[in-house]
Amino acid sequence: MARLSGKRESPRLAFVPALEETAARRGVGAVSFEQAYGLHAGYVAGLAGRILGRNDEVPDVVQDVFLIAHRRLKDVRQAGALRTWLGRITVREASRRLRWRRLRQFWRPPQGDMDLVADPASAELRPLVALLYAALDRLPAPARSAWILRHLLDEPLDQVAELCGCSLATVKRRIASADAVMAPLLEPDADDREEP
Amino acid sequence: MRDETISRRISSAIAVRWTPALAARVERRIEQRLAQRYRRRRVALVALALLGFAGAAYAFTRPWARHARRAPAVTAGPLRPDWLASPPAAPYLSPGVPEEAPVLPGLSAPVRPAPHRAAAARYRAPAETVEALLAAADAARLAGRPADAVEPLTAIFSRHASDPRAAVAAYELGRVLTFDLHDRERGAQAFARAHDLDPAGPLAADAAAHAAEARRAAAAGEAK
Repeated sequence: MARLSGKRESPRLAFVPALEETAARRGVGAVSFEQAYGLHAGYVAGLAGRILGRNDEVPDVVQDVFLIAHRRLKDVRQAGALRTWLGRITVREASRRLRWRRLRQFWRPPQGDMDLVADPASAELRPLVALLYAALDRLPAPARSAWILRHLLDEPLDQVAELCGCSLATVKRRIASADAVMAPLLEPDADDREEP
Repeated sequence: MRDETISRRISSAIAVRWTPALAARVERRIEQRLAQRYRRRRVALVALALLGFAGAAYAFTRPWARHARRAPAVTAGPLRPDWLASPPAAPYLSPGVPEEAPVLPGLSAPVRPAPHRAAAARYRAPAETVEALLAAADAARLAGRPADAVEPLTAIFSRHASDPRAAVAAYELGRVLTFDLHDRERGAQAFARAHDLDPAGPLAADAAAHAAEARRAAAAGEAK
């Protein structure tokens, strides 16, 4: 990642015609597409991974997000808004994948152990993470995204609304509906109940 | 109702796998996709340009070529009626000045446009058929202008050689050339052609005899 941020050390992405000058011309100032990838790919991956709950789909989402970003880079007027803009694309792409996943499960149910986004270091919490995402799978994709942004990423409500691309009232409603489903899991005694 | 500590513990236990190697791999995939997109765009542009060029070439050349091919058949030809070729003389038109409608004495504006010009503009020559050519030849012969019958008769057996009336037309041409125009050499050729076109037809024997006779007469004429 270091070679993507700052000066380029290898000619990666160099053969794509006029990539940097295109980005500069399109209004993101000094941040080229390559730099944007270096700066925000980790954020996009973290966001996508937390919304999807699986590691194996993260690279695909990151790729799709940055392909869309490359096409629509001219829409970004300020370099400071790039992160939020990429976050909004990520939420949309992840929600789209969630809908497809749900549709796919009709004829091909998930088999075996999922590549869960659980920290290997905290093995005792892995069942709880699996339980959390199993509960989140019952939610509609917009409510799930809003709940995760609010409670797992601790984003303020206005930022959640910005990332979800809807109004503050809609976000509050979605989070409240998700809370109603998730509350039994997050009750104080739930932790003790789930752990052996 | 919800315990914040549980939420925080779960949140801390979530770790998305995103390593530099994975980032580099995704970057390579993005490169390939972008290069592919540029390649497709170039191909699409080239295809579009070729399509536009071909369309323009077709639009600007074909109609002209068609028009050029069709033009002689429409405008020129022996089938143009006489009444169009030589306009009817109106009482107020002097024969030498047919172009404009005249101004009658006492009037400041032309009375009407020359009617034969408008008719000529509206006129479209009929398609060249054997019937029309035969009719034109008959009309010329009956009008006492056998020389005008040569072209339609020649046209019949040269352009419509497969028509069963081609042999008759050649025979008629032989007669016109030999007996009316006294061109025995060409008449002999026309009779020979009539024989060649339908060797088993009812006119074949007469055509052969006339051809021989005309050739002999032509040779005698040359000897004199």
